[in-house]
Amino acid sequence: MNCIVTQNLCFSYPGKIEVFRNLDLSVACGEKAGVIGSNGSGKSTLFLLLAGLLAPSAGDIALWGKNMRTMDDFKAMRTKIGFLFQDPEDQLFCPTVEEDIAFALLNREVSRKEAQEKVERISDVLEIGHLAKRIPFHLSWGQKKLVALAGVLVMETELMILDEPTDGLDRKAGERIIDHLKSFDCTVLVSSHDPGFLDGICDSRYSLKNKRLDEC
Amino acid sequence: MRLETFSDGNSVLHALDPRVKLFVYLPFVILTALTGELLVTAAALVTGLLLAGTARPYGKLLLKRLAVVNFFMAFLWLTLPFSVEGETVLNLSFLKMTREGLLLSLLITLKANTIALFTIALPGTSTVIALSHAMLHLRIPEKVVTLFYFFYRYIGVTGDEYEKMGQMLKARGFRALTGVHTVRVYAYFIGMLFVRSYERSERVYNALVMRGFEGRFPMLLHFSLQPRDMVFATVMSAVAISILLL
Repeated sequence: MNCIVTQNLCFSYPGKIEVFRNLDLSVACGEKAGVIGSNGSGKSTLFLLLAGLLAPSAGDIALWGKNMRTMDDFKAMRTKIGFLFQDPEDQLFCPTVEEDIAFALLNREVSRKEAQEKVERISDVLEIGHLAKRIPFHLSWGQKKLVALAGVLVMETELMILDEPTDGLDRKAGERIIDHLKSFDCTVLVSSHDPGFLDGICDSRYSLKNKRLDEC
Repeated sequence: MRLETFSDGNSVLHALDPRVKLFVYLPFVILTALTGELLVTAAALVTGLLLAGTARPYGKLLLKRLAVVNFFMAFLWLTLPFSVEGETVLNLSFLKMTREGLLLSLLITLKANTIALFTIALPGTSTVIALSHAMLHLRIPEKVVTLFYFFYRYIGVTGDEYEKMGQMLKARGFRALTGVHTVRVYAYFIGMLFVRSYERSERVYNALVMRGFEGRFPMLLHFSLQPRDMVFATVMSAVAISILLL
């Protein structure tokens, strides 16, 4: 079964700045797919469309075989999607790191005890346990990135859309992320400028260039 | 964040349940705002000073905040004593300073300082997310709480953008002079500040939506009423009643 299917997907920003045209993408459930492309090629825009945070100009998006026609369709699917934004500062929200990591879990009515356990587990994986009581806005860029990533990974969703997760991280942190993502059976769609990271995690790779997406 | 300057600390007030702080804060602020009695306001001010002292919220910073409040009060002192009719205490040919005007200025100044002290000592010693959560517990409508939180969050976003753009201008050698170039740069600065803040606020909202935000403010470390909260609420209720009886 395919987790993500797009057909003839087109998107233009207001002012008719066309980002891509007739884009077809198919990602199977459990597949770990990478998207590469130069700055401004539309990787982040594609991810926002897949999460229903932007509406396409034309074309279809199907998630787990269901056509996403309205924003309500996407809303129902969002519990199954973990989304890492490119800029961690957009994502950090709570007064302490541990609260921020637990935020999505508590929104989804996970008990506080279970949430606490999961927060501790993911903090250990990413080696950020020592930051638990710190204020997220006062951390370094790399630490913020790890906290934002922990806030997504802790959700253990069926689909992880990760927009440049290793941006600003050292190689060891990247390896820890690869090990963790490989350790559970989720579909991953990731963009990165780090070839080593993509080699370590991806089963397939797509290149977004000249408004088109091609497998490479 | 800059709006949570006093929220980090180990004092008794910091440890109190935010629900109790709001429960005590609101009646005191309403009482102070509505009273016309100088004695009642003075008693509330003393209570506010004692609370702020208990909270130990960084002395210098507290004085700075009060200085801002009193800066606006200075304008009041420049006009009110001369514009309220009553018993003349000083006659400066065309201007007459009245006793009633002076008392009214004093009353408003004391009220402003009292409310500022209570705000710093009570809600100020909690994080905004904890207060939002507490408001929901106190049955304040979800929409009001969401507006309150987003106002705070986006003021922070705009502040961050302002700081970053200011640093960027400095790093690129901009100096404010008197000239068309400076005016144009400031115009770009203000325009870009709004555009960037708006776009950033959209991204912040999207990030919230993707993490299941539906207008609630769940917390990992939940509130639980402790004996100290009950003692504080009882003592403050007694103080409020005593002040009312003055």
